[in-house]
Amino acid sequence: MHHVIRSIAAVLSGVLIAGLLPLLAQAGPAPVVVGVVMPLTGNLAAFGKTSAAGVELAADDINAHGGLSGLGGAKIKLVIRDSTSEAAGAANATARLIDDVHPIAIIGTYASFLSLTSSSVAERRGIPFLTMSFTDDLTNRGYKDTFQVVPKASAIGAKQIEYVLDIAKHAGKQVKKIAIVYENTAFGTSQAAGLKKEAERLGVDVALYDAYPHGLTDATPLVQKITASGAQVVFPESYFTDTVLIVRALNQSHAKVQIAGGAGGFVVPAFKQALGPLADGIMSIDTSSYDAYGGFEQRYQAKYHTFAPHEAYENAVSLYAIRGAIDESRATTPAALRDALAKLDVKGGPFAGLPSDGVKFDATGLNALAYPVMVQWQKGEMVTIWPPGPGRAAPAWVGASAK
Amino acid sequence: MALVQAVVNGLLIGGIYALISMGLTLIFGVMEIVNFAQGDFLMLGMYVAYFAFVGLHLDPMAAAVLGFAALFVLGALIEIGLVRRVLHGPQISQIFLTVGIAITLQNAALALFGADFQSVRVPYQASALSVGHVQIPVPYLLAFAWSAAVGIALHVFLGRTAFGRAIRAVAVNEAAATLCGVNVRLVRMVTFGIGAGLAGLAGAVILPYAYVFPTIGLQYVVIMFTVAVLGGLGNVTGAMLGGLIVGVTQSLSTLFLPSALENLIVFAIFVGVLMIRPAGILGRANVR
Repeated sequence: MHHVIRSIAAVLSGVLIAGLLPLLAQAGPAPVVVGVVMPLTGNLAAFGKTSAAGVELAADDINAHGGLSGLGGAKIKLVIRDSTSEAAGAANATARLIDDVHPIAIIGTYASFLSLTSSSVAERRGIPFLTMSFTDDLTNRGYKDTFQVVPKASAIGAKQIEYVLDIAKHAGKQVKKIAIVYENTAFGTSQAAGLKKEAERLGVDVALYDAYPHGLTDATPLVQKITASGAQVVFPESYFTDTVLIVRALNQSHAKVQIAGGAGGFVVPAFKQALGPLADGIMSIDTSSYDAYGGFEQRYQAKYHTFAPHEAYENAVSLYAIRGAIDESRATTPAALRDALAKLDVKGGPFAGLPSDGVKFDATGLNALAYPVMVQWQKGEMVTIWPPGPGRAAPAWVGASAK
Repeated sequence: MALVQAVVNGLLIGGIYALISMGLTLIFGVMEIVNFAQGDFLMLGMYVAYFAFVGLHLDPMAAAVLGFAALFVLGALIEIGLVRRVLHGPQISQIFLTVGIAITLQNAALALFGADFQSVRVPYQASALSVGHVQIPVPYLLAFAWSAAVGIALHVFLGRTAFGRAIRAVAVNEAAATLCGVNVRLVRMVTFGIGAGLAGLAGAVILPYAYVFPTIGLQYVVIMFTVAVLGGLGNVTGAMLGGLIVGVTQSLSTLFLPSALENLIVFAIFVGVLMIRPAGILGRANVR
């Protein structure tokens, strides 16, 4: 009797397990948790939101196309946290995110001064931290877990002056005197320092080199200094808010000066909305070519009805880099992913919007392939103008000639 | 020439700083409440002007009236509902209340209007009048004109009208004002309303050269307090004087100092003045 019951039980449980198996298979491999820490409140909230939007678009794209093939189609699960617009807030949010959800990697934190504190926390906990912040300090501290997908600020600053001189020469002008104004944050100071060093190496007179506090309430004194310096080109290294005040005040001063901004506030949709026709002719260095974002740009347009700003795309690139590393290595732990990222070498596809067309990190964690491009606002559109190449627009020089 | 230009720039921005700070100082003068939400009232005034521009195609200089009206109503409601309850409470509760209002307004704005930077495009935005070699930026000039008009109107209102006298009576001695038949509760409500309304008006008139987002108030609140305390917290004429001093000092000091230090001399003067006159330039020496 007993063995009859036992065999019935065995058959029944076998049936049950067989019935459950497809369900288990449907649940699939566990999702891979990626943390996103961005400034969603405070004065950088606008950039934090576009940054997070970019990562979300990339995650949707990856999940809709079969997930992570290296892990049997595992889906990516994003956990997005608010860093606030304060350095201490960024560190706290990063630490809590790691403790709460144990992410395999973190993408953050838009602004350089926020990324500096976030990345320190991630380094201590051994979690790979991917960023599109510019400052040199991110990858010159000897950290093992910080990965910078864009060129670093000093290199961006150097290219800013180099490209402008080339463009001027192309237009038959010679640039002798420039002004550099920069906000006194991690981003502004390191980019301005690189620019100044390169300008001096190239024998250009830096007539004004002036830091100002981020969050100006009035730019007229600063602009008075720019016009008094007699510079032909001004290089403002600023986020959006100060950028708008500076450009408007420059126009009020009737100065005929070519503006060549340092990315930041110059390459966002709000720039055009705030300045309208005043935007035309303004150049800026940029770390990716938005006219080459391809499918990402179209999906962003469809969802948010504006062009994708560089921070949206470059944060998406960070997620695509994580996917590339996981697919290569089948990494399931932060440490394994870190080693895979260090060996990553990807090109094309979602990386086509980077001027370098790919990502390959060097020993410091910097994307060694990365280099910036010069963009210009022409008739309300932002186009890539330098270095010249197929599909790139012709630059238009609006500054004065050398006096 | 650079000197003249710097003085002109400084006077223009100083006039605007004065306008921004008048509401703060009025509220303190009458109610002895330090309103930390004043910067956020300014932010709301900017949004009023922004939406008036987008929805009604109204120039911010005209929308300033709407900014005043909207913030007057909000200010009066906040006074009735919240401020009134802590008026005779410990100072710490007053601080917590106004800081709490500030945080609430910032986050309400973030939820309602989003984090995006908004600004308007008006024809005079990038234009300047040339007087000799001196450039006078038009948006600043218009905002300055509003500041002067408001300063004069406030002066007349407080000095020459019955209600203005009632406000001053409450400021000097609440109990005596009550005994003389002044409706103190009404005076307080209207004063807080005017104070908030002035910030709303100031927000609207600076929009043509500035931009708005939910936490913009924080950028202006330090200036507000510097100007108001320097002139004498509670003294409206003092706020005007303080505004001009801060504006001209900032502008002149950037002629020979790095821009990052534009507030160095301002605060040196600030500390110096407070050492000699602890209640500010025009402040009452014996604050209770």
